[in-house]
Order: sequence, then structure tokens, then C-alpha cells
Amino acid sequence: MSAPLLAIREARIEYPVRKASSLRRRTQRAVDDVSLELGAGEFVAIVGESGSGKTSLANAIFGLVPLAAGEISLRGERIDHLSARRARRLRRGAQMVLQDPYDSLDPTLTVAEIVAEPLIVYGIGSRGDGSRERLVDEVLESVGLSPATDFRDRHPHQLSGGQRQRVGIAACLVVTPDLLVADEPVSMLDVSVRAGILDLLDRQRQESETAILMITHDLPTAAAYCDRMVVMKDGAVVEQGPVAQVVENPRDPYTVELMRVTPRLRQETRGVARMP
Amino acid sequence: MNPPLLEVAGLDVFYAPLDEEPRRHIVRDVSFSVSTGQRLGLVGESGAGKSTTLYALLGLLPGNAEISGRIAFEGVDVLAAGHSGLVALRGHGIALVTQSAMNALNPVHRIGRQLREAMPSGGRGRAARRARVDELLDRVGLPPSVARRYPHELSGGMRQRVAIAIALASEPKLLLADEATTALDTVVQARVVELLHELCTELDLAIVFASHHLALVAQLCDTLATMYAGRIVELGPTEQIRDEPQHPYTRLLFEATPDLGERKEHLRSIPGAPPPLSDVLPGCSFEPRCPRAVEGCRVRNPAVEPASHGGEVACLRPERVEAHG
Repeated sequence: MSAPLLAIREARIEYPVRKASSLRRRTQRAVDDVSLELGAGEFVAIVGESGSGKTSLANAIFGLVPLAAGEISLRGERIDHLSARRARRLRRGAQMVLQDPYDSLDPTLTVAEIVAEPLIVYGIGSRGDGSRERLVDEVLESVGLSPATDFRDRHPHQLSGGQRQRVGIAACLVVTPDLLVADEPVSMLDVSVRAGILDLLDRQRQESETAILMITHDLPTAAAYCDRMVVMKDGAVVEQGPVAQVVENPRDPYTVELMRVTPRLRQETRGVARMP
Repeated sequence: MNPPLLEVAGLDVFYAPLDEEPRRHIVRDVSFSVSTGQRLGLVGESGAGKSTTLYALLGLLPGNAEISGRIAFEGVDVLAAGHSGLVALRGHGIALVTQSAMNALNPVHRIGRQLREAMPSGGRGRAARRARVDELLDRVGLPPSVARRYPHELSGGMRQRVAIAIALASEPKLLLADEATTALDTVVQARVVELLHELCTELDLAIVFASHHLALVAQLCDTLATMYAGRIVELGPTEQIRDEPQHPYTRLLFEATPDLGERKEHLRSIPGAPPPLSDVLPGCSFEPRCPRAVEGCRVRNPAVEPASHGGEVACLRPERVEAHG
């Protein structure tokens, strides 16, 4: 069997904690013994509340935080403990969609410059022969910023939140990754544009077999788009499985609680869930 | 019959231009009323005017805001007395809970002191005020020891409970909540919503709950108002609006919101974006995005009319019930 696209094995992440009263070094464990696999074209959600370790795990995939133990492989090759240069080359195939499209785009650059930057970083295409421009226009059209000529010279402040997030996604897709890690990709956006962004990710997965790992605290959205759901609490995975199983027959008490308190839109009798 | 607790009629809020910007019309001819114990939810996209409407009720808008219309609290027109009338309502009858409890609390004072400061002045001795602190904390489900804590020592959910306790300290009859649970995790959010529900029932407290979280609003509130581009375009009983929305915008908002267990095929985004609030459109402001729009929608701004669900709707071509089969 070929290696999965992304494999996280027994990952542990610790942050140093400094206490003024103590000279001893202490650590806070943010992720504890987490294992997770992702195949090509899969759409998987990691759900959990703030502090559950889901963002730490996403950051570890990109080497933004070191692993205290365990390993992370991309296409069968270890990417933790690599030199920055080798890791960057390997990670070209994995890109990250950020949460806040109001904060993550450089306000001094145009849309075309933002989307072309990864091409320059990875040395794709060459300057002056128009190949980068063509790639940028193509990807802008594919994320729905069409016609590209209307958008390429604009600055982020001239775009709506949804359009900005499309620019962020375009900057990921331009290097044709096979893994997208999206950390709360729609939580800053109005509900009216969320489905459009998620449909865009979903289409990318269907058409190009791009695997998507979405980090979110929004259970209904995760359940609507993903194949599999991974529930994290206090740094550990408490349950994972196909969406229908986790939503309809949760086994872990925390997952049960999470499903119970999620507000339902179409439940017959209104009322507030009683806490034990 | 008693007048409603709060009556808002023809409320308009303009922002006077600061630079070369055009004058903006943020809240447009908004009318609604809230009675004792009622829970009204305000929903809509960012920029719809939800927060501005709430802040206008307390005179908390910036200096370049121009407010007109009628705001009557317990039958008394408070706007007639100008800005000072609105200010007098703060801490006497109406209280506000905002999104970020961390910003609402003073980081250098203990919780107990912040609660005592929010109590009405006079009439209580020192011991009685301290007892009242314990009572307020208990009311929001916190132990008395929290009074000695500083805000940074508390979790997000506890801070939001403290913010609610501070709001309750002035013994209000109406609570305004502006995205009061948005920053909280699902489980904590559910507990805070449960607390608000309990307070409304047990203290006969009325609440106006503004949030973009439709499912949460539908769960807490008995009445729902949809705002679009500064107007209330639909208002009525929550269940009836959810089951038979009359305004196309309300229907689309419900269709854009996933319910747990619903797959993506059932979800739709709403194309386009709300109009800039500096624009004066002759017709309906939702017309450019509306799937039901006809020629007349572009030239005539629909008036608010009674709707079949017992509430009201502002639409020339409201959704028909038979469309559901």
C-alpha cells in the first residue's frame, strides 16, 4: 500500500511556561499523542473548542511549532526535524488557508502580487515571459474572481471579506498543492458567503484530488462538508470517524455533549438545552 | 393595556461625513417594540445595522451620529429629551452586554468592586452591597470567591457571566446583548444562552439579542427580526418565520445556515453584497441580490405590511406559502 498523503503519528506538542515564582522549567502540553491520516481527495475536519490543540497541530504540519515527540510525514517522507530549506521544498505541496482575510493579506500589495508571491518563492515560471501572469489569471478565475482583469490590480481594502478569502485561497492554489490546511476559513465571514468559500474548497478537492484538512469549532459546517470528523479535547483526539457516525452516534461523552448543545435551526420545539 | 416596555418607531441613524465621505444612513426607519419578558432576536449580515440600533437606544453612538424617531421606554419618549434622555436610561432600566467581556471589564479592579460600582447609588449600606455582590454572582452561576478575582484570572465563559452580572446590578428591565456569546466555545455558549433564557423567565427580563448566529437566535428568542441594509425587513414569531419566511432575504439566510447533520447540497450562499449605506436607492435595497425581484422592486421601496405569520414584512413580492407544497 502506498503511504497516505499526510500521516501524523503520536504527535506531542509542548509549550514552555514561565512562572515568575519558579526557576524550574515547566511545559504545558498542547497536543498529546495525536495520530491522524489523510488520503488524497479527502475532506477532514478537526473540531474542538479553543485550547483543544487543533491549531497547534495544524501549525506543526508547517513546522511552525516543533514536535516534542512523534512524527509527521507527507507522502511517506518525514517533514518534522528537517532543515528549513528541505522542509520548504517538501511543503510546497501543502498550503495553509488562514482564518482572517482582513489581516493576512499585505495591504500594500495588489491581488496579482499577493497571488504571484508563492510562485516567486518556489521559483515557478520566470519573470518577464508572462508565464507567472498567466498562472495568476488562471487561478483568480478558478476561485471565482472573474474576470481576472477586474481584480488583479486591486488592493485588499477594495475587496469584500469573501473576496479577500478567495485571494488567500488563490495564493495557496497557484502552486498546485495536494494538501490544503484551512484554519477556520470562514469563521470571520458572513453566513451569506460561507457556503461559496466552502464550495470552492470542495470543488478543488473533487476536481484536483486536493486533500483538505479543515480546523473549525463550527460543527454544523464541518458536518456539512467533510467526510471524516476528528474531535479534539484538551490536546487529545477523543473520537474520530465518518461524519454521519460521529454526528448521529457519538461515542465519547464529550462528543455527545458537543452534539447536544449545538443549537439546531429546525428542531420542533424551541428551548434551551438543559445542562446536567 | 399597558404600553410595551420599549417602543421604537421610525428610528433613523445617520453618520455625518468626517472627511470627504458621503453621509451614511445606517439605520433606516426601524420600528419594533419589546414587552416585559419578551426575547427579540436581531439577525442579519455585518453592517445591517444591528449593533447601531442597540447602541442608539443607549446614546452610545459617536458624536457624528444623528438620531431621529421615537424611542419610548415605559411609555416615556426618551429621545424627546435629546441625548441626555438616552444617557439616563443607562443603568436605569436598560443594560448592555457586549461581545468581548475582556474589554468590558476593568483589568485592574477586582470583580466585586466592578459589581458594586454598577449598582444604583444610594439606599444601601456597605454590608448590603457586599451581600448583593454574592447574590449577583450566584444569579449567574458563579461562586462568591469570584468577587476577589481579577478579570485575567477568569475563563472566557466566567468573564461573560460577570459581564451579565454587572448588567444585572442596575436591576434593568431590558437587556441589550450585542453578539454576547459569539466569542465563546459551543459548550460555554450554550450555558450562557441557557442563563439568559433563565433570567428572562425568572426575572421577567426582556432581551434584545443581536447576533449573526441564526440557529442560536432561533433557539433563544420568541420573536425574530431580520435586518438588511439598515431596515427591519421582516419581523414576527420565530417559529413561523423559520417555517414560512416571507421575505426572500430571510429565506436565503436560513438556507445559508447549516443545521447539524445537513449536507452541503442543502446550503446556498447569497450572491452579491449589501449596498454601501451611503447609497440612496429608490427601490428595495435587497433587489440587486433578490431571486424574486421584478421591475417594480427597483423603483418602489416596499412599505412594512402585516404578514400572514402574524408579524410584518417589507417586500413587494413576499414568498408564498404554497411554494412549500
